[in-house]
Formats: sequence, C-alpha cells, structure tokens
Amino acid sequence: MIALMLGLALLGTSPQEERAARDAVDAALARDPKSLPSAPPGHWGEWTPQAAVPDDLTAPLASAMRAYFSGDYGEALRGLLAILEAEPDFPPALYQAGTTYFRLRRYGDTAELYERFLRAAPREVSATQALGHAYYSLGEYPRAREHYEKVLAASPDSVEALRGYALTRMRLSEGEAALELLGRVLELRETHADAHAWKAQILFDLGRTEEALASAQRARELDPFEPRSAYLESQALAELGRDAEAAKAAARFEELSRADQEIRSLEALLVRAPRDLAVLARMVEIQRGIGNLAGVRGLLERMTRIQPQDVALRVYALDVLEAAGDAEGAAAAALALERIGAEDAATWKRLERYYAGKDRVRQVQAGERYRRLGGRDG
Amino acid sequence: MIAHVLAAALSIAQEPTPAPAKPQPLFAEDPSALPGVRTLSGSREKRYIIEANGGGLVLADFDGDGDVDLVVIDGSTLERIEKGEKGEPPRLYLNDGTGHFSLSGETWSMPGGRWGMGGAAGDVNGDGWPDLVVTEWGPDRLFLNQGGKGFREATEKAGFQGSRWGTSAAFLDYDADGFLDLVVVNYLAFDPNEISPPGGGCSWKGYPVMCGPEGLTPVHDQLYRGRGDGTFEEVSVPARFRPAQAGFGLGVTTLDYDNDGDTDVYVSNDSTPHHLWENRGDGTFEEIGFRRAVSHDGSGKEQAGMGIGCGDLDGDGRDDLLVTNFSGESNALYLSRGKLGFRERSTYTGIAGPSLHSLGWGTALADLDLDGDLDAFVVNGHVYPQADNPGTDTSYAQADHLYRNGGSGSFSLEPLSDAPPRVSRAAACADLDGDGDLDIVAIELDGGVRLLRNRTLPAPSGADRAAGPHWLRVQLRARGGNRSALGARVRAEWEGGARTAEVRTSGGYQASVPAEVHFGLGHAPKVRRLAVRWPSGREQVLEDVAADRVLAIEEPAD
Repeated sequence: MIALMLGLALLGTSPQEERAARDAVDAALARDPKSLPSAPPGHWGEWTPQAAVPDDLTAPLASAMRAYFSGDYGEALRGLLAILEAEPDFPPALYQAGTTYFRLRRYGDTAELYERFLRAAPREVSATQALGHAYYSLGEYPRAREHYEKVLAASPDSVEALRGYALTRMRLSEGEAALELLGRVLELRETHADAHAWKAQILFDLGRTEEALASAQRARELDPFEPRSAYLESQALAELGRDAEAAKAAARFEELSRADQEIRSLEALLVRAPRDLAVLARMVEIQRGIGNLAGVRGLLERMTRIQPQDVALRVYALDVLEAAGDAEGAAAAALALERIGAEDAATWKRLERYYAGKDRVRQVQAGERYRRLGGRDG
Repeated sequence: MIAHVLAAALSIAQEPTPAPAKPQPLFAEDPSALPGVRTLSGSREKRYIIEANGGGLVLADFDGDGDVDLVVIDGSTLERIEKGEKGEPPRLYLNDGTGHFSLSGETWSMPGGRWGMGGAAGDVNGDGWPDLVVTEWGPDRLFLNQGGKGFREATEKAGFQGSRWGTSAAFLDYDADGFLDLVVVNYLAFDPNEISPPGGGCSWKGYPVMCGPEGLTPVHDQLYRGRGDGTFEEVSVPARFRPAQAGFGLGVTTLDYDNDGDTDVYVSNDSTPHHLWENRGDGTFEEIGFRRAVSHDGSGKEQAGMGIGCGDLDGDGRDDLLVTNFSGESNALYLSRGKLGFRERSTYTGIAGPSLHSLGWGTALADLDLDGDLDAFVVNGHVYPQADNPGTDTSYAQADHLYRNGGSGSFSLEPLSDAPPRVSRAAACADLDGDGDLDIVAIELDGGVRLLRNRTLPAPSGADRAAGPHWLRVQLRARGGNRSALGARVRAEWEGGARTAEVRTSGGYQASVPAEVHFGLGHAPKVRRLAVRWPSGREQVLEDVAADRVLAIEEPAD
C-alpha cells in the first residue's frame, strides 16, 4: 500500500521537472535573506494588514501559503523569496517568510525577516511575538525580553507573548517572575497545556514539588500526548516518594518520548521530501500507537491534501481511522471515499463492509453500487 | 574665560582614552608542543557519520619518567576500509617534562587497526605499568606496557568480544577484587552500504546532511571483568549491565554517585537517554538514570550527549556532572543530591544560554584557575560542514569555551584561549608541563592535535610562588592489583575551602586522563587535612600537607 502511494505521489511530473523544482527550492534554502533587496525607507508606510494584495502577487502569495500549510517549507520559502525579490519588503511576504524560517528552526533568519517586517510596518508590533521567540531560541535573552515587552505594551493580553516573556524571565534566572507571568497566561487561557507544563517545571526547580505535580497533571489532562508533562509528573511523584505512581508516569513518558523522537526524525525527512507519503504513513502509525487520534486525523488530512483524488489513499484513511476506533473520523473518511471513489467498484465493496452493522440502508446501497460497477460477490 | 575652560574640557573629553587592557585568556595554544601531529577521520565532506567523531587521546606516564605522555588514537577512511587496508596506527608521544612531545621509538609502535576511536590506560596485569586499550570501529585492542620500554599487542588473548563501533572506554574496579575491569561504550551499527549518503533524505535546517544517529540502530555497551593478568571476560549480561534500550553511547565516566564505596558508571548517549549504572555491590548493576534525573534534560528531552565532565562543583562531597550537547541544545549541568539523584541546573548556573550555539565534545570539570573551585572547559565543533551555510545559527569551526566558576554557584563564559575557532572533538586535561596548573590537549577534526597551555602559573617551576595560587596533585598507590587506586576518594580541606575528588581516568569523550587528583588551593599554602578513602575501604588522614607539589601516598598496611 505504501509503495503504491509513494508511486502515485510521484506521478504527474517528469524527473527533469522534479530536479528543476528541487534545485529551485535548494537555492531558496541556501539563500542568505540579508541579500534580499530593500524597499526605500517609508515605501510601505501606509500598509496595513487590511490592504489589498497587489494583483500580480495574489497568486504567488496564495501558492506559497498553500505550500506552507501543507508542510512544504522549502517550496513556501522559494515562493516567498521570489515575491520579495520582485516586490522588496512586501510586508505579508516578509512576515510569512519569517514564520517559515522559524519552522525550519533557522532563528537568525527568522529575526532578520521579522526585523525587516517591523521596519516596513512598525505599527504591527503586536503580531511579532515570534521575533521574541527567535531571540529566545538564539539564547539572546535580554533582546527577547525587550521585544516581548514591546509586544505586550501594544497587546497586553497576547497569550503567546506572555508565555515567551515568562520563559525568557526563567532563562534570566527570574523564576518567581516567570511563574507570575505564566499565571497571567493561565488566567487568559486556562487550557494552555504548555503553560501548565512550564509552570510545573519552574515550580519543581524551586522545590515546590506538590504544586509542580498539580501543574504537570493538569498539563497532561490537556495534552496527554506531550512527553514533557509525563516526565515532570513522574519526577515530582518520585520526589514525593509515590514510587508506584512515578513508575507508571515514567512508563508513559518513555512511550511518548520514543514516539516523539521518531516523529521528529521523520519530520526532518519531510523538510526535503514533504510529499513523501511513506514517511507520513509511518507517522500515522506512531500516532496511532500512542492513541493520539487527533494526530492521526491531522496526518491523514495532510496526506489527502497531497493526493486529493487518490482512492487508495482514501481507503487507507478509512482503514486507519476505523482500526483506531475513531468513529467520527472514520465516518468522515467514508463520506470522502464515497465521493472520490464513486466510480471504483472496490471502493463500494470497502464501504459495504464499513457500513455493515452501522447503517443497513447504506450497506445495501454500497453493495448494489459495487455490483453495478461490475463487482462480483464471493 | 568660561567658554575657554569648557572648550578645553571638551577637547580633553574628546581625546582618546586608552582602552582597558583586554584580559588574557587563561590558555594559550602552543604550536611547538605537538608539531605536525594530525589525525585522519574520513573525508572532509563528512558524507557518513563514521567520519564525524574523530579520534581519541590517552594521557598517562607510560615510560615512568614522572611526566604525562600522550597516545593519539587515529582513524581511517572509507576508501581504506573498502580496500581492506588498515587505519592509521595509534601513536605514543613522549613528554620531555615541559609539555613538549615527540614520537616514541620503534618499541612503542602499534599497528593500525580498522578505525581507531578512543581509549583508556590502566594497569591490567598488575605489573605496575599503565597498559592501553584502544576502541575501534572494529575489534577493540589491548597493548601491554613492557616495563616502560614499549608496547606489545595482546588483543588476541584479551577476551574482547565482537566488532562494534566503540567510542569511549573507562577502567574501574567494579567488583573490588583488586583487578581492573573495563567499560567500553558503543555507538551504533554502521554499514555504509545500508546508510543513505547526503542527499539521501537526511536534512538539517533545510540542508542535506549525513544521516544518523537518529534512524540508525544503537548498540549495547560492554562490561568486561578483568582477571588481573591482561585478560578479560565479558560480563555485560550476568552483571546486568544491559539496559532495556541501548543508547548511542559516546561518553563515559566512573563515579561513586551515592558515596557507598563502590564505583558506579555514567554513560552519555547521543539522542537517546543517558544511563546511570548503580553498582549494587554484589557484582551487578542497575540502570537508574531516569530515576536519578540524569537521563534527560530538566524538561524530559533527550539530548545529544557527547562528553562528560565529572567533579564536586559545590564542595558538598558529591560528584556533579556536565554533559556537552548539540547546537540548539544547551550543555546540561546536573548537580548531585547524593542518593536522591540529580537536578539539572544549567539555566540557573549560567551554563545553558551561552552554550546554545555550540556543539560540545571534550570537557572536564577542573580547577583551571587554581582558585579553589571547579571550572569547566568545553571544546566545540559542529558535525556538519553544512553548518557554515546561511541560516544555521552556528558554524562548523567553533571557539573553545571556559566556564569560570564565580564561587557562588554560577559560571561566566570566557574564551578558553586566543586560538581561532576549530572543529574540535576529544580533549583531555592534565598538568602536562609540571608547573601545577592543568593544561589541555585537544583533537581538531581533520587537523592537528593541539596543546593549550595554562597561563595561571608561570613555568618553569621554582619561581617565587609564595603568594599563590597554590595547588596539590595527589597520586595514590594502593595495595593489590588496582595500584593506581581507581575509585579512591580524596577530600582536601584548606583555609577557605574544601573539596572531594575521586581517582578516575575516564576523560569525558574518547579520552583518558592520568590516575591522580588535582586541587587548586587559591592562596592557601597548605592543606590542613587530607583524607583518603582507599578502594579497600581503608581511611587515612594526613594533616598540614604542604602545597605546590606532587604528593604520592602509599596505602598503609593493615
């Protein structure tokens, strides 16, 4: 099945076209964004996020955004840098290119693009918390702090800026200040699992183990597939002498951590082969293994965006979701399969089996459709 | 008049004032110390992970003349492997006593193996002379010291098992039988025919790079019980030195983390959880890295785990651990709480942020400025030549780092020396010129072996040093086969400070150091109390020990 899907994924482009596309992406990835041309000072002074995108940039920008949302960061960058070459410092392209570099963990380049964005559109500081994240990731904590303060001055309730600001204060050895800021994050969004996890870690570091445990457990409730909260829960339980519970949390941590590590390694492969369905299918299996149904659905959606008309892929999605016990997801996958594989006999045979025991009418209809398309029973 | 005065004042203000003198880095590279000594590690392009880790360094007094000699463990190339040719041989460089080294004569020559990695020195046959183990991508090897006159290869009878990719090795006496045992740390199952070269899908920051270690198969480490006659028996399974999951092992240190009198083992694993092996005192081990919070960073993330520094940072008598990591991760400092385990305190001690851009390898916790507390050095260098491409936030060659201990539990980053950035790998630390401060020898990948001379004390010895800083080197001579007293603990107390040190030779990453302990004493001219706990369990106390010397102590008879 995977080999079939991989084959299908490569259909439609010649090796030469593929090579040329790959070279263009490689050139974009190897480009230093400092070499991009600059607009004259004040050129974008009147720009606002509501401003219409110039006609000639609409399609390239949309294409780059599509590539970005499908996880093809190299292609997204190629498109965005081409826009910035044609229209220097065009703010939406600067912003999106900065975000794309962030996804590639190229934090210096992220900072370069966001700083240019702020020069072009200084009124939009409230949207640039990612610049603080980039400084933070570069270990430039005083700069991160200064930038988060600017973002928060413009937008005091920015949850992500508050979170980043809290972590920066923690890195500056200001644990109590960090806790206070995380408290503010949780006032604004109590369901912020990551904020609970960081709170747990800081409390643990400060020796407030009972409180750390409560925060770690809340983080786990909110995001049961994140290894960090299981780790912190286990460490806090062990510190409190609750060894049996600690061992249970540790076992879950080890399972999640192994899965997380493998997924990170597969994601690295996807940077250069974002349409590799075999890699995505392996990630589906991992998410299924740890019971992360939302993760499974997200990956299947990503796969079907790559090959939207691929009937075999739709059958695969239904198989996976049904086996994972995701009734809602399987129902949606069955409907999609009906639509995509309407003229394929095997589709209806599979649907007949799917509807058996669930919907007698649709089961019969699927069987009739199968036979009408030439399928044979037995 | 007022205008005139103001103008004069302004002109004075505008005069350039002399810049304050830039503090001199603590170390200076000495190109005359190891002239022309280079190592080989595959292609410069680093198409495969086997080419990225570099060779090893073993420091010990092999010829018994009282100074520290150096074995350089050298590598090979995949082309040589394909042709069935041997790798570059390990080589002994003898010290003239001033930290200048020359290649030893024919009697010390060793044949090339498959692809040398690291090694360790220890007296495996009880004749009083340090022997040499070399780890390889291939069978590990043993060279017996012939009374300080040369080496004789004794691999065939040594009892080493298998043909793996060994990295670091450490001698210890885990079963307290008086004979040296051996831990060999292994990395991964490497077959160039089964691993994609660059362009085969592996990427980093958008660039195609060599593959691994993630996605490859880690290999179990090995524990050998020494018989005291230069032969070993692999006991990994019966001694339960076998974790549920193997790691990509790179670094090793021996330590008595729980101060119960037997030797435990800590292994740093690349991208997989580190292992802390607690010696149960009955000939078996238990892996407790997770339980003691030294398997991951403080938030439960596996790190790249390269080298290990080990020492009593805060003077509480317990060994703390520093693990060097990949770029984008910070080096991890684990402070010991004894039997309770460790706490990762990299952020709060100033280690984390400054190490974020570097990829660290060789390291040690040692009193580099002789002020009485332990500092850390880390030599750095990326694994990917592509690190010099745009947007990586790092570089292939990187500066060496000195983390100077401020004395209050926090460190400040300083350049280790005024040398340019290098692609460094293994490094080891010892008093190489006999002046009392600790020098460093480091391997530059595809480059030279460098000596970094410590400038804290002026060589030569004999200069007026009344004002200090002072120091003491202690060499123990135990009774029985473990003559160099591996595992012994020495506690020194002096005016203004106290610290405990353990005798070990494991040197962090593919390196081994002399079997002795070193104390910086600041301005204290003597150690008020020096307490030794011998591997036999015997306790011995010396009082009012004069500083600035190498003190040899024989274990007393019953």
